Parts: sequence; structure tokens; C-alpha cells
Amino acid sequence: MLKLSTKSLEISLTGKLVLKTLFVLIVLIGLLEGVARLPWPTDRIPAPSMGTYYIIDIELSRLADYVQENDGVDVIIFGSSLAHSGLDPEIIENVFQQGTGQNLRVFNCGVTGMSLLPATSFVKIITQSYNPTLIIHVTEMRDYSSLTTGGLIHSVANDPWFHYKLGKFSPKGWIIDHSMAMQRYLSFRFWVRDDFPAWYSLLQKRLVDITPWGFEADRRVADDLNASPDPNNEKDKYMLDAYEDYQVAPERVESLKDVLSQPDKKVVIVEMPVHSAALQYFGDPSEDYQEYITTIEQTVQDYGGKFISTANLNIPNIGYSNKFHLNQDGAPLFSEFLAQELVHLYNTGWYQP
Amino acid sequence: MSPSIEEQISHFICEEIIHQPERVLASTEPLLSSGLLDSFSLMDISLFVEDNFGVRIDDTELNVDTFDTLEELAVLIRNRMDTAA
Amino acid sequence: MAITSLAFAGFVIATLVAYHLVPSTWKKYVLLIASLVFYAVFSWQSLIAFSLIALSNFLIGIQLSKEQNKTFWLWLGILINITSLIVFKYADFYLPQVKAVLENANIQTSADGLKILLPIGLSFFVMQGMSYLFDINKKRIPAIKYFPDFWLFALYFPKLLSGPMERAGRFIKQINQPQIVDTKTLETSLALIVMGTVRKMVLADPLTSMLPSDVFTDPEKFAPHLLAAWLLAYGFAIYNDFAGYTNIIRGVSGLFGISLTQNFNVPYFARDFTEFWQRWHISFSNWLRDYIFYPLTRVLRRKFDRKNPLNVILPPFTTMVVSGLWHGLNPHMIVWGGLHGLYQVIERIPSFWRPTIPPAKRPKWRQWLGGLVTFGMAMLAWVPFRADLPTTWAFWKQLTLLFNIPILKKAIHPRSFVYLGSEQSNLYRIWSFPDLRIFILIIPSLLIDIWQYRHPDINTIRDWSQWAKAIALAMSLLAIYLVSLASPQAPFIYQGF
Repeated sequence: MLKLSTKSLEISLTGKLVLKTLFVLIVLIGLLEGVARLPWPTDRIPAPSMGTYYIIDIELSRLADYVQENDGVDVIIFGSSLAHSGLDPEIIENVFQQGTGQNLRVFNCGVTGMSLLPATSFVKIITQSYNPTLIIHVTEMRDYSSLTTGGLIHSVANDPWFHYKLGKFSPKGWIIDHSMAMQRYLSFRFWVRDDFPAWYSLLQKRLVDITPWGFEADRRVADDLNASPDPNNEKDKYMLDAYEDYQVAPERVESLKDVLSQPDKKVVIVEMPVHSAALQYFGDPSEDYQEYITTIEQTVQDYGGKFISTANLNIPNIGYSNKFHLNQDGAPLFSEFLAQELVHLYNTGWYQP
Repeated sequence: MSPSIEEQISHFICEEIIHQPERVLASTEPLLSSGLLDSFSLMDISLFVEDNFGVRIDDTELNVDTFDTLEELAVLIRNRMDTAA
Repeated sequence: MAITSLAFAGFVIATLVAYHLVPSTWKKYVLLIASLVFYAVFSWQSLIAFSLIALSNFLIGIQLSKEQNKTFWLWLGILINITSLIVFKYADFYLPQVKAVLENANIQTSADGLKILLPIGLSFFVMQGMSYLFDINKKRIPAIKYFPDFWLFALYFPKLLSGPMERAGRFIKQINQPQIVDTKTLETSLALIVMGTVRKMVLADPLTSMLPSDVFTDPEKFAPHLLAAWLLAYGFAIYNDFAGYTNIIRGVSGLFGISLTQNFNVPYFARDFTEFWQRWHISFSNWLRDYIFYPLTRVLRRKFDRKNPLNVILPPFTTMVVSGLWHGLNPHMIVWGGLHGLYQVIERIPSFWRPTIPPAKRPKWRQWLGGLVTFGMAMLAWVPFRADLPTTWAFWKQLTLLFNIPILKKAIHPRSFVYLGSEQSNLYRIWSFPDLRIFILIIPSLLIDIWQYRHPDINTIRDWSQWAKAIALAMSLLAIYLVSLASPQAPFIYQGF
């Protein structure tokens, strides 16, 4: 019994109500947890969410299903939307099988907006959880500029679940990681927004479009790839301003080193075959490209990884949805190319699944 | 014997306000909290009391915190009549 | 500092500790200092302006009590209060004209230079200040002779931002005779805080944030049944927002042993508009009744017969138009107020020949019909409260299409293009129907209201079994936590007044 008594206060509390409330809370949470763990249809209901970004949620869900069905995973591909819609693991698996007679389990964990900086955390978390033998990161010039600040950089940097998985404990992070009820609720966390219908429709479309290998084909075809960037266009202006004075930032190279430093894992850094017109955004295209490619090649070599250049990979214009992204015609070409490179790495003994 | 204060007010309310002349209001019947009398009719009653008993009920007293029944209203009127005397 | 924030909770706890530990004679100073700090967090400049207005009211109150030149002092007080309200609150209305005049005289001003910020809570204080002066003038209360008491009355932090509008006499009595807070008071106060937080955070905030951005700007884009559903959402959002706020601050104030006026009593269950205004923003409608409706009625009744149209129309109409003007100096607010005045006038007319039956004694069907009509008309009146006049007409016009069966049938057809608001159109069949989310939130609101309707006295919560209390508390806490993860808090709709 707690008694508080002053001139204006005369209260006595037994604490029974608190205990009973806690008990009811536990029962309620247990019920919610039970309902959340029912087998909900994955093509209708949003994937359980860690609270960051819905594409991450879909990828994690697809990866968990893939690992369960295939009893593990050998290769995980990381990167931004360039990777997400640029590499079809199904094609890579088939080509590798044909070239080596060996089965290879490949999953594409590319996420829209996941440039190199936030990718380092994601690579670490996924690698720890699923233990692939080979990590592939799809990289491009913009990854190494300190002026690339959009996408998932800020949300990942402040995300409680990411922090929790990287060893920084928080009650919120723990709850998100362990509670399916919380994950299910977070998948609907936009329910209070005025644009929820549009968001939900988009989500359902992505749920259908993203394959069990984590790949999502881009169905768009670029209009005029060689047209010069338009300074009056908001996106073009942003990129022209950001990359006019391009420099490879040392801190971004540190991120690359983090990716290359996964213990007991082989790491391949593959250059994204962007369209040559993409260099129009850079102040000094040829010099900037040389600075980027030289730095990356050297760093990858120093850290025991393999760098795969796509300088000799020819993808026709029809295979692009814009200057940076491959579409459903370009992705198979890139996928076959990468698969052949993996066959070569396998045959030379550098990589064994 | 002249009608009591309660009887006079009851008669006024039933005749003029609620249009039920055959009715007699009980002295403890809730008048305001029941919604029988609203703000419009309370002012009528206030003016009736002023004109017939010489007692002023202030605007801020025309609510359920001051009186709700005939009995309570009559007590208020009598007290003020006594004070004035 | 939002009152549903942890910062506010921490502030209240700190103030409570100080308040309950200090000797009785110091308690009101603790509240005063806390209120000054609370206000200063918003704006110290506004605090100075607000305090000066409070000081003016205090000094004029003392002059009024001296019985000399009362008329002069009363009118001065009214002038100061109304002028301060006009200067600060209606700046958006006159500043553009001032800017134009200055520019014509070749005096350039920046947009910021002519900005005047409304001191928070001023609209509410002005009404309380004027009622204080009216009451002294009528000798209902003695003047407050001690400025710290009056300052606290003006600034008391629980009621500062959005009321309730307290009467000075009742409030001052309480701060000078502190009530003991016992276990029962604690229980009721905490129940009010929890209930208020549920209304505000779990019901009002989501309803407000899910409203399409263009429902009150381009209503003609919406199918009539969807428009009606969003109007319903708005009506429940504004109700739960304000009622929730009042519950919280009544609960907070109860922890200090100071009881504040109940401001909402299940208004959407009112069976007519007379009853509605006895249940909605009670402290404000009582103010309007005591200081506008009754005085005006008294004057008119002395001149004209009770059935004279002037007696029937002017008092309710004027009172409600003043209410509209207090909310905003623009035509659509006047229409809102005028509508409510009109509703009351229309309701009044049958009472001149029909026997009056209290709402609770009417036949059930009449009560239900009255309730539904009152509710529907109140919802319609929210349109001019929220939207400008041209949009109001467009909104109402679009709603009339609810009675156009072919249009309605087409709108709910699975293959129809239906605009959903905020630049969205439907892609899936379910969105052709009113948004389910609205009803997911309205139903709990109605359930709380039903309970409150049957138990108007919140103290009945003390009679619940401990398990019932535990279940209610657990569900409330869980709901609050989950909704806090969904979206940032929205500001109180009434806090702009």
C-alpha cells in the first residue's frame, strides 16, 4: 500500500489495478500476437514491416520464404532500384546451372533508394541473418558522392530496428524484431493518411510484381535517352547541381570497405551498366568516371573482393527505362552477363557455393 | 386564501409556456434539467417573477445551478422578498 | 507543448510535486509560476501582451467596483477586450488592407514585418475578462483586489489554450481554498485524462489526418456518398478533438484539486438544437446565454409581446452570429452561426401553440427522429464552419445528389471511376464505398458516447469492478500506443481560436 499525504493530498494506492492492467495487457498482446501469426495471404496483405520502407518489408518477407523453400541462400544481391529491377536471379540461377552443372540459390535484395551508405547496414543485417556465401553489390558513380543524400539514407540512419539489429539495443527495436503483431501493425501504419488508398493500391501491385526471387521487372521504356538534361526539370536540375563538381568522397569509400569486410564471405562489386548518356549529369564525365572506377577497382582489390566491370556489356537503348535503370528487356542481358562472370569465378575456384 | 408562490408560477408555466392548462406541476418536479423549460421560457418566468413578486432573478441565475424545481424557485423568491422587506 | 506530449506530462508532474509539497498559502503561486512558464514556452512576447490585457481587466474591475463612472469603465473594458481580439485575431482580415494603404503611400513593407501573432488563448480569455467586468458591474461578484489571483485566473495553464471559459468568482474561490485531492478524486481525474487522450489521439487525430486534402476545397470532385462520409468524419474529428482536450485538462486540473466546467455532454445525442447547445462547448454557450441571449431577450420582452417575431428571431440569431464571429471574422463563420440560430428559431415556433414535452418524455420515435434530424443538420452546418462560402454551396449542392439514385448507383458501380481525394482515384472496388476507416473510428466514439449518455457523472467509474477498470485501461493504453506509431500528432482544431 502506497500512501501519500500532504496538506492537499490524501491518497492510498494498493497497486492492484496496475497489476491487473498489466495482466490484461499481456493477455491482449498475446491474442494479437496469435492473430498476427496466422497464415495471412501474402499477395493481399502487406508484408510484416520493420517500420522503415515497404519495399524492404517485401524483400525481407520474400527472402524468408525463399530461404525456407530452398533451405538457405547462396548469393544475395544488394543495391538500389538499379539492382532491384536490373538483375533477375532466376536467370542467373539457370545460366549458372547450365554453365557449371551446379545449383546456385540467388536472391535479389535490391531496394529502391538504397544507395551505398544505407546499404552497408542492410548488408550486415541480412548477411548475419541468412549467411550467404557470396554478396553482390551493384554500384554506380552516384554512390560515392557526398551530395547523394536522398533515398533511404536518413530513414535507415534513424531507424530503431536497424539500430537494434546492428547491436544498439532499444525497447522499440526489440519489440519490432520479435513481435509479429507489431510487424503486422507497422505494415498498416499509413492507415491514418489521406493517401492511404493510393498507397495500399500501390503496395498490392508491388506485392504481385515482386517475384519470389525479390526481383521486380521495370516495364517502362525510355523515350529519348540521348536528350540532354533539362535544367528546368526538377530532377535533372537536382542531379546537375549535385554532380557538377563530382568527387569520390572518402567516407563513401569507407562504406564500400564495410561492405567488403563481411567476415567469411566473398564479395563481388559489379558496376551498374548505366546508359552512356547518364554521364551528362557529371561536370567532367570522362575524368569523373575514371576517378570513380579507379578508386573502386583498387579498393575492391585491396579488400580481397572481385570487381566486375560492365564496360564491355552492350545493352540496346530499348533495354533502358531511363538513363540509369534497366527494364524488362535490359535486365535479362545484365543477368546473363553477371551469371557468366559467376561461372568464371566458380571455374577459377575463387567462389564455391 | 391567495395562491402560493408555487401555485402562481405553476399556473403561469402551464398556461403560458407549456400550453397544458389542466396540468399542475409538482413542487419537486425537475423543470430545467428535464428540458421542460428552456432559455426562452426561463426569461419569461424571470419577468413574471419580477412583475408579480418584485424579485429580480439575475441572468446568470437562470440556470439549473440556481434552481431546478418550483420549490427551489419559491425559496429563492421568498428569501429575496424577505431581504427587500 | 502539446497536451498529449510527454513534455507536457513531465511538466504537469513537476508542477504537481511542487504544488502538493508547498504550504497551502504558496500553492496558487506555484500554479501561477507554472502557468507563466507554460505560456512563455509558446512565446514570451505573447505572454507580455496577454498579461497586459489581463492587467487592464484587473484595474478596470477595481474601478468598476468603486461605483463611479461605471458606464465609462465598463465600456472601456469592453473596448480594450474587443479591440485586442480584433487587433490580434483578425489581423489576416485587415493587414492586407493596411499593406495596400502603406504601399499607396510608397511605404514598402515585408510580409513578415506586418505579421501579428495571436497570443494563444486570447479569444478564450477575452470572453472570461468581459464576463468578469459584466459580473462586477452587476454586483454579482466583488472585484478581485489581488493581481496575482487575477493573473492566475487569466493564465491558469490547464484552461489557458482552449478553455473552458470559467467564471472568475467560481475559479478564485477554488484557488484560495485548495481542495484536498483524495484517492477518489485521483481516480476520476486519471479516468478523464485517459478518456480524453483516447478521444484526442486515437479518434480525433486519425480522423483529421485521413481527411482528403481537397474535400473542403473541391467537393464537386467527390461522389455524394463519399462526400457525406467525409463530412461525418470531420464532424466526429472536431467533436473528439475538443471533447478530448477538455477531458484531459479537466483531469489535469482535478489533480490540483481545482474543478473546471464540463464542456461537452454527448452533444450528438441531442434531440433538438436547444439541447445541442446545452451539450456542445457548454462553457461558451453558457457565456453566450448569460451575456448576450438573456440581456437581449429581457430588453426585447419588455418592449414586445413574446410571440412577436423580433422576440422569436433576434435573440437566438444574434447570439449564434456572435458565436460565429468569435470563431472567425469571415462570412462563412457568420453563415455557420446564422444556421444554428435559424435552427433554434424554427424549433421555437411550434412551442407557441403545442404543449411542451421534455425531450426524455417524448415518444421514442420522436426522440429518435429529433436526434437524427439534429445530428444531420449539425453535420451540414459544419461545412461553412470549415470551408469558405463558395465551397460551402458547392459542397451542399453535391450532397443533394445523394437523392439522385441513378448518379448514386453509378458512383458505387465497381467499374466506375471514383475520385477519392488528395489526387487519388479508385483502383479497387472497395474504395467506391465510403472509407471503412471512418467507421472503424466512429464506432468507438459512439460507444464512449453511449456510456457517457447513460452515466453523465464520470464519478460512476469508481463503481466499476477492478477488472473492468483494468480492461478499459489496458485497451486504452494499447490503442494510444499503437496510434502513436501511426502518425504525428495533429494540433487541436480549436487551438487557433
